Order: sequence, then structure tokens, then C-alpha cells
Amino acid sequence: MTAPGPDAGHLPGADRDRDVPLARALGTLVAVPVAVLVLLLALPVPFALAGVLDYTSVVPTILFMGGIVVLFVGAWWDFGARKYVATLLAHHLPFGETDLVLVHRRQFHLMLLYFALGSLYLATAFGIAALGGPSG
Amino acid sequence: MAGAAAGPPSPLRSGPPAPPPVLEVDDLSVRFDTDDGVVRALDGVSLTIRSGETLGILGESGSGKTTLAFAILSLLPENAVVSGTVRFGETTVAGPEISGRAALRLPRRARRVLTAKLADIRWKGISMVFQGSMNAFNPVYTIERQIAEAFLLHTTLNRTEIHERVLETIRRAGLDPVVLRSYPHELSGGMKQRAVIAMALALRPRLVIADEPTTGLDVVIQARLIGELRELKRTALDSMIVISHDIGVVAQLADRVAVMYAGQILESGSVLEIYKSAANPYTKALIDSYPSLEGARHEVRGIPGAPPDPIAPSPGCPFAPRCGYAEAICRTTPPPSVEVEPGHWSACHFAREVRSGRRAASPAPEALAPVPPGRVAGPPILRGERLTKYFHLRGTFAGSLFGGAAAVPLVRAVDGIDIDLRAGEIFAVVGESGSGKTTLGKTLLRLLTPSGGTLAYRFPEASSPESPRIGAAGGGLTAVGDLRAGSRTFRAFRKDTQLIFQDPYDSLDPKMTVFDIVREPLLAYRMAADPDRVVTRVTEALAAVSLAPPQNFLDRYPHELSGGERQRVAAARALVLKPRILVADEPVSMLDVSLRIGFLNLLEKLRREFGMTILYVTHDIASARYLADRILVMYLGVGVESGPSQRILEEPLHPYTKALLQAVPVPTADWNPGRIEIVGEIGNAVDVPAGCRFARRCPYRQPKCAADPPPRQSSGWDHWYLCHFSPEELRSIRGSGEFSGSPASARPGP
Repeated sequence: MTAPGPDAGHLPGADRDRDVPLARALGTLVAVPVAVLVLLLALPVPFALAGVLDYTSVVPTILFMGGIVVLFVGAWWDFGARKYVATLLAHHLPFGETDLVLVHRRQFHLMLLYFALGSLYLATAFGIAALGGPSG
Repeated sequence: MAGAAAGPPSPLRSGPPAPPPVLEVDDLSVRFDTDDGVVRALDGVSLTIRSGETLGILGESGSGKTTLAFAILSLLPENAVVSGTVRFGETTVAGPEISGRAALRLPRRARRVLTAKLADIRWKGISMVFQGSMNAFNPVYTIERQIAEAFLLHTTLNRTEIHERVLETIRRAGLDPVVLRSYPHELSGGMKQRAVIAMALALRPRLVIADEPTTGLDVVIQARLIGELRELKRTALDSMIVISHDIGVVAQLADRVAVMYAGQILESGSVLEIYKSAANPYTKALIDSYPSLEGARHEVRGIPGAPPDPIAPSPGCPFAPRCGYAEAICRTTPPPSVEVEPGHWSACHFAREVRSGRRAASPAPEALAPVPPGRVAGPPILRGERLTKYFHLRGTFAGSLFGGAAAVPLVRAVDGIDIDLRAGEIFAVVGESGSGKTTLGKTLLRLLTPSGGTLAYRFPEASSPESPRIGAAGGGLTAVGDLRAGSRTFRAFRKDTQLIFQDPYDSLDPKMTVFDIVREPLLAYRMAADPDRVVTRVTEALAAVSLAPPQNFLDRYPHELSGGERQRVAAARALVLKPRILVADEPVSMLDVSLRIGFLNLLEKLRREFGMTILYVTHDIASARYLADRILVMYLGVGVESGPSQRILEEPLHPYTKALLQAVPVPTADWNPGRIEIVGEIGNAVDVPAGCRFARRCPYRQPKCAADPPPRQSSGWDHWYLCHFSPEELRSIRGSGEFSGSPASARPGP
């Protein structure tokens, strides 16, 4: 039998300690590159309308570079796993083989997710370039 | 030194030949060629260790203890220049022709033969318990694989035989064989240290060198480990060298002691002789620097100054610049090694006078101002009621990604603590690592936002905080627990409360000068408009922490300061805003033994001169007793006993407090703590019992302890403890045979 749950009621700071569900964390991870994609698509529009740049040639290049960056982020970032494990160990919390497998699996899934997002950038880049047709 | 080593009467040569020598170090000097110059690490060290003997090597950091150990193992680096010899049995393991730089000049064939010979001696003949058990293991190997490695490399046993020998080794070190399948990170500090000892004993070497074997361990684990090493000494060890800066540890384990300073042996002899009648001012000063429970309320003096520069040694006695009773001869002539008693040598011009007491080696201790039991320093200045701080590990972003669905760890770092800091008192929070002391300190300063409870502070009369005061019962206290960070009141509270961090090597920016470091809080609080005033405030703060003259320190960088000076700079940074409350979080745990007491005396001075309220966080109950008016003993996030420090020392009521007091080593050879009456090790603050937090380790536990939270029992004098039983009932439980204490065993903690 262990002690009952916390009585973390009446101080505003306690709100920060609330559990953040997995879906919300995943949503944040997806939202950031998608928002950047939208931004990269939208920002050059006024310049294209003003005739300063050719949207179908400039934007695919930027998106292509952005896609490579996203792919690299997915491949190299640990998504905070290292710090999380260090915190568990620092607090003498149990951390065994199963937990390690879970961390690796989640990291693998997140890497695939970022590969998908990177591919979305690349696909969008190729799509826009294709719309523009062969350039001179 | 001419003394301890040079000259025919070698200080550590035992008198009548008894058992054959296991190790002989003869006039060993080691110098390192560096870019800055030649570092004289060892200077004419001579000693002999015979079979069945344990030698303790005592000294401050930089005295050459570890270099001596490396020389014995012939592990000196390539820039070492060696003179003198180290012989292990009949084999020379270190000497001018075969060690350090000279080894590189050997013909290839000779070098190969030498390497093979040394490899055969290392671990099989001489093994070592390295300092810092975590670094001694490969983190990706299980404990079994690491211990088995010694057998694989040095024996021709097959796998089954090796497994059996590993099991035998681990049992001999007092560990449960279940740990063999564990990785190093899965073991607690004490278990890791036992595993390191097991690894060193694996091949039953003739000589084991234990380099700071208990440093970094909690006091309870330390006491238990000392007991186990003493038992191993009796049963499994032939001879041992114990290297430590802790007088208490060396006194418990060694038969003879060599006191090292600046690469030389200044004194050597039997443990009893050294502790009862030291004949060297340095040894006396070291012993006097040790705050023990016995002399707890007497002022203990540290050793002034710092060890000499190993690149530019002075011509006379190396300790002369720090020795209060040095005379002209000490500064010009190296002291001779004098045999003051058979087998007791001291390198001092006045060894006989120092030993006999005709020449006092340090001023007599003065009593600190007596602290009557229940002394009330003043009205409460900071109050925490039912204060809690929980950490939700899955509340973090990474935690929600990697934490899994089943486990939602909630760390109860601080769980319902009631605490009152009174104006002008020193209040100590004591407990093992993981008991929540540091979290409590940070929560009281609002560096961490409390998860529950109330936190209130009494602002000085002149200030006019915006926040409402807690009602009449609060006595003019203002709630600060829920203040918005950045508000005027919060900034006023933050300005009044400062923190000194544990590690002065990490808490000072290496790129900033002392002036910049101490000035920084003034900049943060926009108090640096007048440059002259800033300089005055900074120099005042440096002077207050006894960095004199302050002007000499202003332009220096942290790396140019000793550990004690760095911690004083950290204190000056905290003081420059003239705070009313200072939280000192284990401020001396990273300092050398001679510097610790100086810093504790500084805290006492700050309290006396500035009326400052100090929260002293420590795991060392002896230093808490030395310094504090009141003590709170914490265990797994809760306070288990609190009261005036004198009462806690004289009449500890909670079983945990009793165990903590019992475990404090006393620097005498005949100290015997008996059986430390708690089992296992402190667990984590996640899976805590619903009843008494201490129930899993308590020798007096009864069924109701695990189920029901214990009530707070008062014994008067502002002294209370958290237990189901009165002291009389605890005694009767023990007498009735329901006592569930088990012999100290090393099973995984709760």
C-alpha cells in the first residue's frame, strides 16, 4: 500500500506539475514542422504576387532544404530521452530493460514521424516544382 | 623532505622483524614535467607494509596520496621522473629505470617483459579500490561480467569455474548474488562500492589499495562499509593501504598511519599513538579540524592558508607557512625525522615538544556561546506549513513521450513539512541523499514552486509588500508561496533570501572575475548605478567572508582560487545583497577537510555579526550539531524529528536519528559503532509507504507502522518526533523480542 495522491490544490504553481498526455506531446512535435511548412509556403506569396520572385522555382528549393533539415532532426535528435532517463536515475527510480525498450521504440516511431514530415516537405517541393513546369 | 623518507632511520620501518614485507617503498620521489614547470608530487617517501598489516595514508588533496598509489601499481604517466624504488615482494615495480619516462627508453623486448611482469602483479598481487565507484565500472556491462573479466584475464579457469568464483567473491563482499545480473546504474552507492571492493578482492591479492573507499557515501552506509571492511580485513585480506582525507575512516581501518603533506610523510606511527599523542603540528591541526560529536560545541579551528605550490616548494618545512608555531629554522631548514617513541616518527624540528605538550601546536579550543535547550532566537521569519513539493516525471514533455502508460511516477521530494525559521538562528536540515533536504531549501526560497501548503515570510518593518498578510495567527507574515514571479513583493523576498550552492567548482562562472561574480546580484537588482558604491559593496562582501585584503581578489578568476576561497566567493555573492536568510546547501561537502571547519566558522560569524538566519543543509549530523541551534532530521520527504540540536544529540528519539548519530565515525582507533540498527538503504520517494516512511528500514517496526501514518509526539523543549511509539514503548519492543532488526546486509534498497 502506498501513500494517497498529492494534495496539490491551492497554489498556482501546482498547475505546472500536471501530467501532459502523450497525444499532446506528439501533437506539439508534429505541429512545429507543419507550422514551419505552412509559413514557408505562405511567406513568399506576397513577394510572388509583387513579381519579386518566381514562386514555383524559389519555394521548392527552400522546401527541399527545409525537408532535409527535418529529416536530419528526426535522425539525430533524441527527443529528450537522454535527459528523461538521467532524471529517472538521479531520483533513484526503477528503470529496467522494458523501459529501455519502450524508450527505443518511441524514439524509432518519432524518427519515422519526422521522416514522414520531411518527406511531406520534399513532396510539396516536388509538387510545386512540377506545377511550375520545366524551367529554362 | 629530508625527514620522513631520507636518512637511514626510515619513519615507517617497523622495529622488530615480524612477518615478511609485502611492499617496500624506499626513498621514492616522483616529479612530473609539465608546461608550467616540474611538479614535485612525491619527495623521499619510504614505507614498509608487512603481511597482515593495514596502513592508513592521511592527508589533504594534493598531498601525493594517489600518486603514491599509482607508483605502487606502476601506473605513473609518461611525464613522470622517478627516483627511489618500490618493491613488491622480490619484484621491483617502480624505479628510475623502469617507471614513467624511463620506461619509454627501454628496448622493445625489455619493455615487453616488464609489461608482462607488471600485468601479472596488477590485480593478482596488488589490486585497487578506485575512488568514485560509478567511474570504476563500465556502464554497459553487468556486474558479473566485470568481475569475471579479472578471472578471464589473469587465470585459466573455464566459464563454470569463473561463475562459481564470482559468486564466492560477491558473497564475501556482503552482496546478494542477485546483483550480478544488474548494471552499475541499478545499484545504490553503497552496493556499487561493495561491488568495487568485490572486484578488487576477486583474485585474492596480497595487497589491496583502497583510495577513499567511503568518500561520497552517506554516513549510515559509510559506517556499515567500514564495519564490513574491518571484517574483510580479518577474514579475506592479507594487507591493505587505506587512502583517505577522513581521519575517522583511517582511524577505523588502519593499524598504522602515515600523514602526508606536500608529497612527504610528516608523521607515521600506530593509530593509537598518532591520535592520542601526535608529534607533528600538521597532524594535530588535521585532528583539530575534525568536528566530532564529542567536542561538538567547542570551536574547532581549521588550518589557515593552502598547501604549498608543488612547482615552487619552499626550502624549509613544507608546513611552516601554515604552522602557527613555526620559527625561523622551520622556514630555512628541512626538519629531521625524529623517532619520538619506538615506531613513531615525526618530521618536525620540535617533534618531542609538540608530543609532550610543552609546545602547544594549536590554540586551545574555545567554547562557542552556549546554546540553552529550546533557545528562541527571535520571532519566526520564514514559515512553511504542510509544505509539499512533488515532481511529476510524466509532467515533462519527454516524460509523457517515454514514460509509458502504466507508470506515472510522482516523486514526493517534500511531503507536508512544517518548518519555522527564527530570526538570527542557524537551523540545520539533516538526512541521507534522497531525503529531500535540498528540495526543501529551494522550495523555502521559492526557487521551486511549492505543490501544496503555505509559505510565509516576515518582511522587515520598513518595506511595504503589496500582498495581504496572513491573519493574526500568522503574526505579520506575508504569504509568498503563491506570489507572481516578477512582482515587487516577490523581488523583495528574493532579494532577502539567498543560496550558497554545494559545489563551488560549478557554481562560479570560470570566465568571470571575482569582482564580476560578486557584483552580478547588484546588477540583477539594478543597484549598480553608482560604480564607487558597487566597488564598496563588493569589497565589503569579500571582507565579510574573510577574503582579505579584498582588493587582492577582485581581478582573480575562480581557477586561481582554492576550494575554500571559491566557496567564500560564493558566500560573498550571496551576501552582497545583505540578505536576511541564507540557505547553505551542503556548502562544505566538496571542500577539503582542513577547509571545512573554516567555512562553518564563517557561517557562525555571519550569524553573530549580521544577525543572519541560516538554513544549513547537510548529511553530516556532527557538523549540524557543531553549528546549528535547531535540527530537522528528514527522511524520504518528511521530517522525522526536530528540536534543539543539543537535545537531539543527547536524547535522540526517532530510530533514524539514533542510527545517524551512531554512524558518525569518531576519530579514535577504538571506536565501535556496534550494529547500525537500520536495514537496507534509503529508497526512492516514489513508492513510499502509506504509513511511516521509515517503516521499511526500522528495526522496531510493527504491523501498524506500514499502514498508518505516525503521529507527531512531543517531548517538550520544542522537541518532537514522528513515530507510533514513545521511547519507553520502543525500549519494551526491543526487550520483548519483537525487535525486527537484522544484521547489516546488502540487499537492494526498498
